Amino acid sequence: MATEAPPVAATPGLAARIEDGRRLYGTGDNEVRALDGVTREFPAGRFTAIMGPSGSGKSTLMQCMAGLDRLTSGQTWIGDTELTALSENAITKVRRDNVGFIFQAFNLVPTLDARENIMLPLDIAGRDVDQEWFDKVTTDLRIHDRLDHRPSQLSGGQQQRVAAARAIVARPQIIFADEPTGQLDSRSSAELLQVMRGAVDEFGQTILMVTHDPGAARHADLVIFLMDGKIVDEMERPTQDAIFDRMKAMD
Amino acid sequence: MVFKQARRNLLSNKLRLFLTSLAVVLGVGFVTGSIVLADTINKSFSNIFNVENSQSAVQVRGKAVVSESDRKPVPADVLEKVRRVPGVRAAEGTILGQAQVVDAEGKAVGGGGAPTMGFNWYDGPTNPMQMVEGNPPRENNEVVLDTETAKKAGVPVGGEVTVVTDVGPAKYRLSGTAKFGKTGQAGGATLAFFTLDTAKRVFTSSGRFATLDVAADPGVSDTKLAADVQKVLPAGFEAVTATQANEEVANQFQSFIDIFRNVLLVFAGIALFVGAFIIFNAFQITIAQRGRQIGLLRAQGASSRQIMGSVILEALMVGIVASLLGVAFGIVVAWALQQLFNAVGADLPDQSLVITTGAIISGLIVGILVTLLSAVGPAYRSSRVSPMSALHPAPVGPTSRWRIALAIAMAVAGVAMVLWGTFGDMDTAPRSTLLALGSIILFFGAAALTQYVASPLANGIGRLFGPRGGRMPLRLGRRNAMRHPHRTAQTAAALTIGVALVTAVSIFASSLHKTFVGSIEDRLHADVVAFAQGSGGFTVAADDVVLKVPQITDVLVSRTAAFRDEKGAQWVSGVVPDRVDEVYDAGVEEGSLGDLASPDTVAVSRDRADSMNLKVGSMLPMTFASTGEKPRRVVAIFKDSTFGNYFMSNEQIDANSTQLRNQGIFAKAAPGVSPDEAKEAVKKALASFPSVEVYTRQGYIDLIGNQVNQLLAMFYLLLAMAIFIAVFGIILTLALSVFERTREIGLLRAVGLSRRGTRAMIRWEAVIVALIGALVGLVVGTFLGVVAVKAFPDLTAIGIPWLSMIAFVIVAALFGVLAAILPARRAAKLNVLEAIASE
Repeated sequence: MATEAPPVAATPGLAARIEDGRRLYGTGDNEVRALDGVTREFPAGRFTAIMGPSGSGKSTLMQCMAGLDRLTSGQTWIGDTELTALSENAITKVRRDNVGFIFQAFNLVPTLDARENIMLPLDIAGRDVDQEWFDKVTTDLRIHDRLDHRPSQLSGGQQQRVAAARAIVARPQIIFADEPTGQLDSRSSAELLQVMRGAVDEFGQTILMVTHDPGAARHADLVIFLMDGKIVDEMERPTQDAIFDRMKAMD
Repeated sequence: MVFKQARRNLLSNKLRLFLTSLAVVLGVGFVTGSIVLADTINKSFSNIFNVENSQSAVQVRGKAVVSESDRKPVPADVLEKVRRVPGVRAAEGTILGQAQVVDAEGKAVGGGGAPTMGFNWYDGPTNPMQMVEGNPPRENNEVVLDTETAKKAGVPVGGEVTVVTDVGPAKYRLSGTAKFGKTGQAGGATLAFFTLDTAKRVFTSSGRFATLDVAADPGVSDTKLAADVQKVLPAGFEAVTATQANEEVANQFQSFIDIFRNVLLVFAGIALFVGAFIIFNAFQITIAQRGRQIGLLRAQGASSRQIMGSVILEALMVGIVASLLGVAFGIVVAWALQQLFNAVGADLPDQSLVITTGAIISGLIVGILVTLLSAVGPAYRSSRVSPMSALHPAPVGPTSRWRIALAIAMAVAGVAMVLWGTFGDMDTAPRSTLLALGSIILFFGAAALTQYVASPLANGIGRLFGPRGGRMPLRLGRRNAMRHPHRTAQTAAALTIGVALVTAVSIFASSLHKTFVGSIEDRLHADVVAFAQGSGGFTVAADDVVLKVPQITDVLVSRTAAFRDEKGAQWVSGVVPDRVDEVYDAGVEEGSLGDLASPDTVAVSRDRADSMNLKVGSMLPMTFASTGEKPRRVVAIFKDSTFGNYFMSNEQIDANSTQLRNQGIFAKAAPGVSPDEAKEAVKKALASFPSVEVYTRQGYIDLIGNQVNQLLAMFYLLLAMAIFIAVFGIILTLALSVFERTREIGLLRAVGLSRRGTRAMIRWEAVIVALIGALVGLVVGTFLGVVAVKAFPDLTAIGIPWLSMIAFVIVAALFGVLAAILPARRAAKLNVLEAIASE
């Protein structure tokens, strides 16, 4: 099973961990077990995709691990920090300093230009940016000539690349990506996934991505399949067809 | 998801409904309250006049040659003639004077603005008083007081009470108490009744009567009797029906109440105007928010007329519900104002609130109309939402050039109208219309212009708080304030109106202060000043007492008298010609005040001299009620009008006035006596004249300053409503934009903005918006204030109250912080997950 899988991390150590995580919604007859006892370690420096049918709990898993939602029972860690033991304020701080986000859409603050959006987490934290690193990331993402533009002046693909830059520039311990390609055309999707792949390969970034698109999941090192709040399967470096077949089997 | 969305919409609608309604409720409440209070005061006074003279059919009096209140007294032989007219059942003459009742501790009863009146008592059908206890005054040392005054003085029937009359204080036996008409209330006035002999002796009437009251035999009509009585009257006197006389008195009160009501209504109008801005703003924002929804409806075939209709309908519903609540709130406002006025000593007659259907309907119509008018613009705009915006929210279009031109044109037109209304030559009615319209257009123009400077202003203000952008919440708040300059400007506009009016009023008050206190400081050299509050003055019997005080010298007693010249009814102040220069420097430019000692002379202020083209040596025809018209020689022209525009000698005043009353006593301390010692000596000497207040020069200056400040405080209080509503406007706009930015705030929270940071962001936005409003308000208010000061030639100095103005800016910023509390808390409490997920 999952815990027995040999780590293929570029850098050793754990980026995140969940221990017997349960998340219940509602009570009595209406009770829904979004997460039903998930235990899993996410090694640093890997690109992991979480897949599963609608209602499988994949988004809940990501949100609980990122400190956006709270487990009903169980524990989660980012690095060595146990989130489940922290106050709301402390979790906000962990999110700010150790976590990056790429959402499906509406990733950017419309009043800030691209540069300010990328700098947002660092600015909130009052940290200085490594200018060389900033230039490299924005150049790699081909947004270095769009830095003075407002989000409304950028295409959907450019917006998502700015969001990716925001996540990568801060060098968080882990980046959570929630359907990052959900609203992109296939070309922009491919570009964004390549950037994410590159961040893992070149900079040893850890990424945890939730998706329902086998085409996106195929860029991951590892695909974890979730159903009814439980991890049911996983695949190392799968092909798109293999993922597709596995998903079909789950329906 | 649909359910969640519906719930959220409802929640936002509830909040929006609440805050928009609140603006209407407060505005309508103030309007209704003003009307109800005025009706109530009206009723209580007309109650009094209806029962007064109830048995009286005809009144005989001198013709109003000077003014309604200053008439020639009726000689005693006229009374005899009137009594012999067929159809006259009874006729009695009334002697009227000032009588100050003093309580056991030596303190004045009543007064302080309300009249303190003394009469002769007579029996018969024309007497409006009814005995309550005891007997009418039969002996010359007896007095009857109205029950309220007797109670306040703490005197039982049969006890002794001191009354100060024109001959000074004396003790009388209270033979009984009486009440006025049916209600027994005389609007705070104190009434004392003496025997005819006593009244003739203690009042400076020379045995003449103020009026004669005539009762008719059965079957004789009032008008016929009036005509018959008129035939026997000498020239200069008239007989009118009692009904007409009562109506005239009631009308005088009516015009006073009308002024009072109009002042209240002006402030209610301001509150409503500010409210309209907020309603307009609220509808505009929610329509912008619903752009997609409306677009979707349009895409599915809803006509633009239907869309507009639905927005208007929404406004109508808000208007009706809020106006109903506002009317109810208005009754509370009227009650509160009634209590407030009584608390500050206005002593309004007890009268339960008079709530007429007229007041209710006015409140409803005003509220509904204002709401509808505020919604028309946004509704029209909503009907222009293209079906395409269901797919792509339309970007904000570039501002068209003609809009800027329109804004500038409005501002310029407003300024021009205010200037024309202030300095143009016209009647009161078109002048006030022009000023009101001009101010409103100016405010619209300023609000419209603000949107073009809102962004740079917000930027500048934001950077003031944080050079190089400051911390993230400040930077985000600043950006948010810059995001919709249109909305920022409109939100700020509500506060602009409040701050502008407060600024204008304080500039006016400050100039008033500077002019009067300044001229008193420069020109008044008296060390001791004594006078009575109110326009009644105090008895001339005090003169003898004061003149005997050894600690003072150069005593100047001042009397006043009413007269009429070509400009209308006027007041002339009496001086002691050879002493006036010692205690008061009038700034004589031509001639000398000493020449007032010659008979038939007058001194005129520079302002009046110029307007009537008078020089030293010119003749000024002056008409007095008791002595008629006589031209008087101008012997001096002076600059300072603090103590009036006309001076005569006291001897000439005494010879021409219907009532001898002192207005003030000015004196210097004798050599070697400190001003405080002199003041104490005068105060001690005047102890038996409790209505007279004695001040040192500095105390007098402080008093004038305090009076200006009290006036200012009252205006602030009345304007507080408008500012209160403006703060609600900021809350409303912020709350709506927090809702609009749910996802954005969720994103900020997700990437690590703390709750505290979120609150700070909203707070900064509110502070910046409030400061924009305050700054524009300061500019507009300074203009209005300076223009208002310039409109009064008597105000010779312009005072700019810098400290107050800085305080307004700080208070505005604090209001911003206050307004942000709820929206900020709402933003900070947003569930990050739901916020991100919300569509």
